[in-house]
Amino acid sequence: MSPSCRAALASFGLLSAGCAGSDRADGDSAAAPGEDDVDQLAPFVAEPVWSADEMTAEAERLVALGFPDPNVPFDAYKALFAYRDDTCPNAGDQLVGQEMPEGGCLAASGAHFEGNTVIIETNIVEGADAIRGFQFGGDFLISDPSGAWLAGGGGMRFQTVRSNNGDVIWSGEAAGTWIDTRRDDWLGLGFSSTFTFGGASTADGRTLTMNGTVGVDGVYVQFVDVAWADACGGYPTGHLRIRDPSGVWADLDFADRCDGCGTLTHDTLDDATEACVDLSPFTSALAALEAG
Amino acid sequence: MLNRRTFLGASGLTAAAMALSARPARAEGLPDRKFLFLLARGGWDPTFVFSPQFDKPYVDTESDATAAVAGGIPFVDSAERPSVRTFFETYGQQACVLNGFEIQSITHDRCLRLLLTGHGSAGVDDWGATLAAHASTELLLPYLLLSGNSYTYNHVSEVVRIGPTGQLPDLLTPTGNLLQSDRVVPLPGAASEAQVRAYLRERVASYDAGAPPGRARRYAELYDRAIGQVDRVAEMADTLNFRSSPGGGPEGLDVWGPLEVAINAFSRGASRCAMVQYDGLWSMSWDSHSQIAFQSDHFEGLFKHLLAVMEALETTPGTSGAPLIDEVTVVVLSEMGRGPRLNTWGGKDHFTFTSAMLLGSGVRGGFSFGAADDYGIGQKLDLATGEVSDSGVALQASHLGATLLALGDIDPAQEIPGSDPITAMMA
Amino acid sequence: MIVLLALFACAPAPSPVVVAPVADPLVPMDDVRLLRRLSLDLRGVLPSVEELDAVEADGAQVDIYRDQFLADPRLEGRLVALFAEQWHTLVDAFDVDVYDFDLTGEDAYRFQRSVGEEPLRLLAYVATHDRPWSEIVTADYTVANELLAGVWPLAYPEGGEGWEVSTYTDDRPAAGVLASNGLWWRYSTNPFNQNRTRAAAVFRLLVCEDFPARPVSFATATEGFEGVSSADRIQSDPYCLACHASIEPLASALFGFWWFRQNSPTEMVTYHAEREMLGADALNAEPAWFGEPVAGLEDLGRHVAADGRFSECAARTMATALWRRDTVLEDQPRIEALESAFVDGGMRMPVLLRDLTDTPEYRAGAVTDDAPEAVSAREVTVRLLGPEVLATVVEDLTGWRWEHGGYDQLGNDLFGYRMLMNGVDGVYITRPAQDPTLTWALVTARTAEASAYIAVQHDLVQGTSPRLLLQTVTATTPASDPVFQDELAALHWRLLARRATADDLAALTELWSTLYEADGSRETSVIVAWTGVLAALLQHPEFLSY
Repeated sequence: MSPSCRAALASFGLLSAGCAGSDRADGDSAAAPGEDDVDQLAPFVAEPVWSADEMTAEAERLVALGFPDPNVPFDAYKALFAYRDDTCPNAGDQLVGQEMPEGGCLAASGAHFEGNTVIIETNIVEGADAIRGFQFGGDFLISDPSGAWLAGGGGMRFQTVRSNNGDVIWSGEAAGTWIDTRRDDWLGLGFSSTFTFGGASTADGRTLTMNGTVGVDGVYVQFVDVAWADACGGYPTGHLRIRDPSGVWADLDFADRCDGCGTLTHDTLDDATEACVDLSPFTSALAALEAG
Repeated sequence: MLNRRTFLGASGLTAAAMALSARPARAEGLPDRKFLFLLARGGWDPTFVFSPQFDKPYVDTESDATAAVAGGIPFVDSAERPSVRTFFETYGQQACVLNGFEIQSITHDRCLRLLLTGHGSAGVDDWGATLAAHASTELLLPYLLLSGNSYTYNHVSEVVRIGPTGQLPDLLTPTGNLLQSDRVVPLPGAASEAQVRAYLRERVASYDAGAPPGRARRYAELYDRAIGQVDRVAEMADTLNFRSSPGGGPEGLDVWGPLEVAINAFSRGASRCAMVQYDGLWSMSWDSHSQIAFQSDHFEGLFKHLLAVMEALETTPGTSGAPLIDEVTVVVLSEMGRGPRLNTWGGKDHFTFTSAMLLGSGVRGGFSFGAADDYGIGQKLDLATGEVSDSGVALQASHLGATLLALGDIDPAQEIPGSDPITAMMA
Repeated sequence: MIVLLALFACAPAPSPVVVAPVADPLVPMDDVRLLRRLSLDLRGVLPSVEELDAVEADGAQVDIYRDQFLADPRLEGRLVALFAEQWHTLVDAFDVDVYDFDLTGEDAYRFQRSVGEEPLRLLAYVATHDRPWSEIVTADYTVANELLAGVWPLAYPEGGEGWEVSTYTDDRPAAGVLASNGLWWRYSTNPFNQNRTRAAAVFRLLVCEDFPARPVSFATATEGFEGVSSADRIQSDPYCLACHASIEPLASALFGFWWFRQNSPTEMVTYHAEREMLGADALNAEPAWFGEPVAGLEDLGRHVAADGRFSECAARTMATALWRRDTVLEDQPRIEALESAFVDGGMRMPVLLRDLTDTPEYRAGAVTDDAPEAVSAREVTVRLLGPEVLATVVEDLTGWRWEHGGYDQLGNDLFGYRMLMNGVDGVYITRPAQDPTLTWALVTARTAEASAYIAVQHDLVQGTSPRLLLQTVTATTPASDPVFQDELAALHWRLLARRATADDLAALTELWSTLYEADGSRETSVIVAWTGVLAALLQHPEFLSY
């Protein structure tokens, strides 16, 4: 039986729903059909729905859902190929679009494969450096015999370079829209991003950076040059932007405080307040990636 | 019977529609010159073929190509494009290249309109429709649009679209005389249809006789003309269904089928103009914002087609009995060029300067005109000599269009005032 | 079922908009033919015989019928078609197709059209449900059907049917069409373009600013910028900034619809709120509308609605749609008057439509003998039935729509004949043509022949009641019978909105007789003859024009 495929993406509520509607500063509410007319031409000054504490709590909730580790969907993808048969899908471990029938194919196991993917894996030694990594991308949906599925549209990348002298440099990217319905973490809830990260562990110390956007379960954040360096005692610098349900973006500037806190401002209001966000789940995850 | 020329004389419509004032006269007895437009849509990079710019310090060029000359035409030679060399060696003496004319826009849609009409806004007919409208005889399929763009205003009725998937022939002669429809609908026989058309032409004449000033008379005249064309449906089907190679064209010639139909239409005297669009290797489009190297593949494919076209024109008789190459001017063009510098993706972005090539009848072969400065900017040209000259003209699409109209025995001043033809390109 | 409110029940007051020039070169058409034009434009069907009779008896009735047409449920469908001519969203291909979703090939056409219609349906809904026109860019809802609800993150009303007000469930802002998948699937972008094409589309569609129409010349390079990459140049060269100073900030505001991977249904289906701020970095431009900072898509919609050009563009857009031509400089006083009344009327589209259908340009059936040449060439005093209207007229007359493999043959160009009938496909043909062409004649002929066959089979062969076109004759009625002549006269009146003259009837009778004799079979001759006569009337110059 062919599973509900792309339709599932729509009904799944990928990026969650039911957030509070926006309120305008002038007291108007969104005009629903049949209600009284709204003065559509009034100046629009958006006010956040969330308080500063709520914003930081939501950001921490996103972080607690797990670091967008590119290895996770890649491993999930490879695991699903255990359900393949001789003809479905086709070439090796990649879904070659031109060789796939329209609407995908159904394997004897009951798994369904559709879409296209490209995988490039690296495992080489160049001089003193051992380079391992992968690039995995495409647009696909694979369901297992139970009907649970993994879908992705975008690209995942991860690479480590380990030198003979013990230095380790790593980088990665998680971009696009991804879901694995068999999980209950960031990937299970549906994940949309354009997120890059990297780091280095050398004799001069450890550094870590994150840039880009992440959206999970109705929470949307942007990392702007968020970085960790030894000099900051494990706390970040840079900016973390958090989107309020009203559409207003708040900016948390960690500056050089090195305590996980900073000044929170909104792009439509002059108010500023202090706020703190614990990003340690992400840094812990990256430490694990560095190790191995 | 309504007559297009008497109608337009009486209707008071703009003189641009049909006036035939002083223009170069084609030799008596010769059929109208015909025009085959081959459009490389998406914006080609002339530095890959037409415009060697290896000496320009601010223009990025191929590292493994060289400047060469064949058939009198300077071109960019590469081992990856053997068809280009073969083409110029074989047909260079019948080709004329124009480099460095400007299309003043950087959006595809606007550039296409500028290229084909000389104007950026609506209300102007393209070269093909204008040439077709000035045909000296009534044509069955005046401007056959097999693929590509057409812009019309006064001459809407000149253009015959075959449809994006070539659906016109099925409409002309439906299989089993059944309408292509979910519901079974038999169509009337030919005799019955002819009777209805005769009734319609009589009613149109009656409508025209009582028509008030305004569009009514134009409508009547053009509808009558269209009905008359439908009378020749069998002849149309025969022309459009022509395939010398029933199994498809030669390998690598993706658009040979439509080109063959166009050549056949010329041979039968059915059309004056035809357009075919070529989208490059695997129809990837010429719009190489990344991986500029694909331009090489696209040009190789284009020139393979041109070799086949020229061979067909040389061996296919026209209505006068002489080979079509004596009657047909092939116009090879693209709506924009590509910028002089590579971008961060290894491609090139849109550029307002582009090139064109004319082949065949009326063309001064073995010449290449136009040049670029160190930044790839086109230089002014003397229209009569083709020499670069500061006192010359900054070339635009309208000048190319004026040249085509002049080749078509139309006075360019009547259609595009202010833009003179590049007489240096004319034999 | 979307319930429509009745708007105008009383005799209309004289429109304040009609500004009669000193010497009007436009000659109004007669009331009966005007009724036909109004019915086709506003309902997509011919007037009924009762309506024709009423206006023939009292010409003033035409305005009363016009007001009824403005409240007719079919206006919504007509507006979808009229908007399509300018919004260009009813294309035959998007970056993804039906096979990318849980649909089959049989759903292909419905999928294509549903996607393209979504923004148009929103426009038409606002226009016909007493909503201010500004709501097209501020609405917190869209209009979707069951198919879209199955493939997009939409909350579709339970028990709903067809096009219903729906809401996206992926946290996209309330911005009307600016937040619709259908609009951005049509006006897609890529990493090189970075939403600039989309920005240009917004400018053109909503405030009638056509940025691509501005000439661009690299020959007039600002000194010091020669050889500079285009990406750098548009940020700094004053020549480029003349356009890009407006384009980049608007493009920056649209990054919630930025797709990391092109042609990815997974990416294209949902809104990406987390990417809203990427534009500022990518384009080095904070989101803004003509210099006014905007705080996201919802704020953008408000800025568009508040822009003075928005209401004028609405007037101009509808004038183009109903006058069947582009507006010109000479129209400016008329456009301004229309806009003023539109705004004073709460930006309700029926107000604008009513005033437009009062204009001399709309009601003209001819020009005066001494009309200036420019007016004579410009005014579309005779309009042609386009593919969409022909399809709805035929369906109304016969119950039949020309479909093949699920495709509306007058509504697509993959297998059908929309472009061949000079219809707007939105890519190759971007404005309707008003001259007959060979292919237009051929398509109308096939449509007429098929319609005639179906009607005759229904009326005479199967004898099904109620009749479609042949109301009184039977398969044995001779041509000499007065019933026969009355039938021809009735058909002439119904289809052409003009009383048949003796010459008209004689010509039709002669055609019928010729076809009858030529067929030579007693069993089929009557059928063949009537099929031919109906086909002829459905190709008559006065049927195909209005």
